[in-house]
Amino acid sequence: MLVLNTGGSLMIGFARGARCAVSRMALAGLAVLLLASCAGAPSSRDAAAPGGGRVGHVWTIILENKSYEATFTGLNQNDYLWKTLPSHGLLLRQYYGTGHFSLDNYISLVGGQAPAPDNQNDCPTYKDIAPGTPALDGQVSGASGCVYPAAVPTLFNQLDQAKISWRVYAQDMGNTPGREDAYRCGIPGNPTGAGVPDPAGATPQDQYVPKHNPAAWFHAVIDHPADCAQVVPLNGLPATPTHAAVTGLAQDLTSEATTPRFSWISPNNCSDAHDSTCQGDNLSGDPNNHQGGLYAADLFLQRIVPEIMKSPAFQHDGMIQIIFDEAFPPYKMYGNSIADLTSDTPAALNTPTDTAQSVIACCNELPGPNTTQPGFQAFGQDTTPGGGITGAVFISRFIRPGSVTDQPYNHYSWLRSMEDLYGIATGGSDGHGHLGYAGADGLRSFGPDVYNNPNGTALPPAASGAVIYPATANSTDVPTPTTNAASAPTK
Amino acid sequence: MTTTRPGRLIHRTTAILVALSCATAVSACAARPASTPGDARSTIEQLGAVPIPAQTGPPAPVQASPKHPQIVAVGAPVTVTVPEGSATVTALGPEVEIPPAAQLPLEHATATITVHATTINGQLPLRPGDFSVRDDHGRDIPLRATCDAPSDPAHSATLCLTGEFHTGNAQITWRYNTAPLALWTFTTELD
Repeated sequence: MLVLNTGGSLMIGFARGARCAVSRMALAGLAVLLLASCAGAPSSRDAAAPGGGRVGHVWTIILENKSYEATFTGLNQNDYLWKTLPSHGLLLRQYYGTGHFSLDNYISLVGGQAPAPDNQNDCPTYKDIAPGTPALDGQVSGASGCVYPAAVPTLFNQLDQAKISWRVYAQDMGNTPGREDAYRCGIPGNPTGAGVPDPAGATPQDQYVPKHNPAAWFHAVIDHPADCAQVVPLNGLPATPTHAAVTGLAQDLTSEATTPRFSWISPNNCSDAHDSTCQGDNLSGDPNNHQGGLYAADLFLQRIVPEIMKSPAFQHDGMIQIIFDEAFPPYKMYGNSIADLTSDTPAALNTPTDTAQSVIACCNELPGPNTTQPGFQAFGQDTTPGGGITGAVFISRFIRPGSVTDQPYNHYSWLRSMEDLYGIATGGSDGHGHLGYAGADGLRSFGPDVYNNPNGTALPPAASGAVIYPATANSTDVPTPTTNAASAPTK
Repeated sequence: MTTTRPGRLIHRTTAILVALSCATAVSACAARPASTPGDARSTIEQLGAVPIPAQTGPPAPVQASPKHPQIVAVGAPVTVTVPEGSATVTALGPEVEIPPAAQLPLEHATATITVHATTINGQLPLRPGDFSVRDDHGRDIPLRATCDAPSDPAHSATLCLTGEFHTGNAQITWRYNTAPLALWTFTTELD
């Protein structure tokens, strides 16, 4: 009895303990499952790049029309973008544009839409795309026109749905009242019907150009006043009798509460390195100095990058991205062309040019339903299946200063990465939150080669190339970086 | 009663704690993407402040001589020393002339590179024939001097070099007795 009782009580005790243990295990398991499912929500991001899961604020600054070689090799030792900024972050040596000329790249970035004839031509007339009917792969048929129908969503709409704050800051937008509508996403006029001819071009007082503002090309954005309220001039707008004052970037950066989680920054046609000689101010402080190109971009970056980096939101969990829309050929070409044309004008282009897709496009870029050549046979090249290598620089506490990655990424990768970073996991062309060609099979989001300092410990600057991440064959491969011990810390 | 209460109490407490952790997990999930917990101050305390690059302003001149030529971006100054003297020289531009009714983008257009020199000492020759432009297609672009009037005969001079430039990358080279002194790279934008 005693034994039995003891055993019984032991058994009972065990049974009770077991029930408790089971209950605890079940509940704890539930919690773990909840956390695991939570961690797994943004697709493969967390598994591949834990640091990416901790980035909370992003600023994307887009520059114009420079090949990797022009920007990041062989130039002035004082170059801010080439020398200084990569020593504070990551240089992406294999970042590609997706088309030519400018506008189609902006469309691809925020909408995942492939180039179409008129946006390849920077939209000579600001008008609705036609026929605008759905095509395969989440694409839209567009034989003419550039403004996408309301059914075509953008990253901005995805962020709206996820209740994540965002803003587009466009330098100079609204400087000349009536030239563009600063209260309606910076559109140059009404895109319906005949549209607005010749919407591009800077003036001395207003160097804003709509073709460099991605928000202006989607009815899903421009038809919604609440969205257009988030498309603002870089320096804001003063109050008028009909409109309240609009804050600009500097004011928004003063606290985390006022800083959008995602900020897109379109410098004007001078500050983005587009114009060789600027129509107006290049921020040099010298009214007679109108030098454009990378000279002007450096002046802009010197002003805006420290301004962002000083902000609470950046110091907390921010990431600055400096990208270019497209490279500027001629490219360095190797190998045999996969698509040499024989119908070029002038006929001199109809000779074999020994081009190769690998240096012009990456990541299995698809041409889409509207063009055979995303690169538009631009710049006297007859084979341009993409936008060329531009390179890019990212800065964050989740990125090692002086690191370099050779993993290829393009604008569709960028869109996919932002969708993953913000936890957008439903809808899109793949049902997992990726719009258009951002949902293409096998396309990679930024991986551990990008978010390469996942614990976020602030590190001192280092010479660019201090750590180099090679490209890997599969997205599941963990890149093994090489460390250059000779790279001394730099300022 | 007395023997079972503590057990129930423990059981209840455990359940509450586990439930709380579940609730925390759910709320963390609902708040995704959660980013880094805390704020800037606590993050800096724990992980340090991210160093901010200095604002350096316009590029300072680099030193060049026939024995040590320099490659720089257009707009960057070069301090050149030759036997006759030294000067700080900058190539600016190109300034493109887009015809008013042109359908953009153009493939080529008339454009001008402006070379500005400020004398430091001596007399440094600034001859149009010492400058040449070649673009990335390998084309040599013929140049003509369209202005050469010194703005200040004692200390500075301006030289305008005009040609038919094609869209894309190019470079302008300044030679001294055929030896390269400085090379400025630039982009011609015609859209």
